[in-house]
Amino acid sequence: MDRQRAFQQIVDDHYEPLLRYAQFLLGRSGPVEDVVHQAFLLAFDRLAVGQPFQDDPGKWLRGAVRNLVRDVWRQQRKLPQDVADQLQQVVHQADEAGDAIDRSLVREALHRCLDRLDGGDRDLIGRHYAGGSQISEIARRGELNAATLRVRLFRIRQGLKSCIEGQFAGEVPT
Amino acid sequence: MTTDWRELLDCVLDGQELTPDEMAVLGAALADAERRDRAARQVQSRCQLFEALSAPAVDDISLSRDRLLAKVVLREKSLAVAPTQRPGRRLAADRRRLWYAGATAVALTIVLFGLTALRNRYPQPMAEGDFQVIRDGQQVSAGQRVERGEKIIAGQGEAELQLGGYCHLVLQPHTELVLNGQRGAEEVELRSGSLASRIVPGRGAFTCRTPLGIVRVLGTEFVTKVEFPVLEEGEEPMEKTILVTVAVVSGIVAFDLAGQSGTLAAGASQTFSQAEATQTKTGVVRSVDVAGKKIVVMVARELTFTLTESTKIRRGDDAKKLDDIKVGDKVAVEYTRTDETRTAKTIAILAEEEEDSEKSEGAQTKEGEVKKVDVAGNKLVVLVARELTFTVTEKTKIRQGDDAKTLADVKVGDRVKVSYNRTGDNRVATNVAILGTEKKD
Repeated sequence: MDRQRAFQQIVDDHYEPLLRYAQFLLGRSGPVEDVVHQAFLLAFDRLAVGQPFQDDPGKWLRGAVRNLVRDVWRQQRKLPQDVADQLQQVVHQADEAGDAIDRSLVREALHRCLDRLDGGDRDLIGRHYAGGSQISEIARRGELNAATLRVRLFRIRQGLKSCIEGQFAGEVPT
Repeated sequence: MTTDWRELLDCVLDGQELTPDEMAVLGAALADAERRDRAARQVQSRCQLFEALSAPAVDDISLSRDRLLAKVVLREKSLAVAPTQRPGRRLAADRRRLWYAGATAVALTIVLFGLTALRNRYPQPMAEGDFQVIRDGQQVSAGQRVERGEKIIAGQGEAELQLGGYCHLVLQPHTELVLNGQRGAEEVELRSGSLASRIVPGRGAFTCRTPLGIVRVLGTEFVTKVEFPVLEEGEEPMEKTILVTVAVVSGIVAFDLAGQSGTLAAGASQTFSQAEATQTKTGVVRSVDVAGKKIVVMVARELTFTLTESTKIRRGDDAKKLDDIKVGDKVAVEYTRTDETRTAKTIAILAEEEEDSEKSEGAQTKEGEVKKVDVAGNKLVVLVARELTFTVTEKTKIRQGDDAKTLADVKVGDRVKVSYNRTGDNRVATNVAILGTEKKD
């Protein structure tokens, strides 16, 4: 029963964040739920053999998701193994850097930066993230070129990144 | 194609496939430590944006969680049904011994009978572990070999069954099942408890019969588990339900349970429920055991019903007691059945007008089988819809065809047509026609 309670607690605490994390790495159309479920089943197996989590289970689960996502990149997206491995390391590095910052401060800065965007860019960001629409879908509906739209989104994101970094004047908001 | 590795990084994270050239560009960038650091910052920034704005990937997170928890249940069950090493080895050794014996028999039989020998190699049902065997209501010594028709009851530990060499069943503690089936079409009747089944494909059929219906193998190897709660004593009967849960770990099973039918694929599980089946039977009381609180009623055969404190007995709207029921009364018994025990919920003593079409008064005719002849007492008992006793008087005419007969000529088993006058409970025969001897099935 203790094992079951421990597992239930882990699910309660980490299910939704882990879903978002997997979605971030795989895109909305990827096998997000399968990957997250597989990560939780690995956690369940770990508890079943009597290995409780000493540290943050969320960190362990994110690591499991990264490993599983790497397999998806290799097997479904046909990324070469070395590229998939390097990409996994990049994501891990980004995670560790993200763990060291105060997310609420970053979020406030992000919203300030979003307010500075022009209406079209803000609309594109909103439809892609909050609305969950793929770039290809937005392009099709707006009769736009998908590649152009993708570049535009990339530039918006780069602009937001610079904006946030500028607000902290290069300091990490810890 | 873009040659900006940062855009390509975004493309991968957006779920897009890259061309080989794009992969090469991205790979070259990520191989460089400095650009890898920049990539990490880009991913971090992108992640912040995503966390702040994105909608969940699944429409309903609680449903998504439920799906996870169902998979966890399946994982637990698949772990539970994994055969332990030792019984597996023992069974393998037994199978080898059986094979040698079978091979010898086959060789001899080939000489004597030719190809029919192959049939003799079909493995006997074998049991392992903690279990009892019940045959004809009696416990028999539990050897490894079990027979069809026997009830297997798992003890405190698990028991395992091997059927036909292709069905491996694990009975959880206290599970009860009856072994049925035949060669190549193995079947068990799961009466209570929990059963995990692993079936090797292509070797034969397997059916698990439950109180709510059946679960049957369709194709490939699968593991399924059927369970339902054992009813607790003291529960209010109306609140009892039977639950049958089928969880499929691999392969496909077909179900026909509680009025639903369909298939379940790997990873799926479904629970079927039904209020405990209550049945009603109508028949003639054969015996009443007031002390033992039992009543025997002749329906198609004699059924014994057990009464409890909550059993209600009534005649019309009047409440009655067990000793108000007399042999020969026609009763309608509403009851529940668990194994061989039938527990009466209500017993309605039917008014005679309800029993059959007999009028309460006056002349009428009935046809039936003679059950008893009492020459000295001038009584004739005939089974019509129920047993009716007729009084034979000096005026009663008994005939067989055109021949006049006496009561002594009437034999048990004869089919007779009796014309009589009824006054209250007294039936006086006026004419008895012997039609012939009742045919026995």
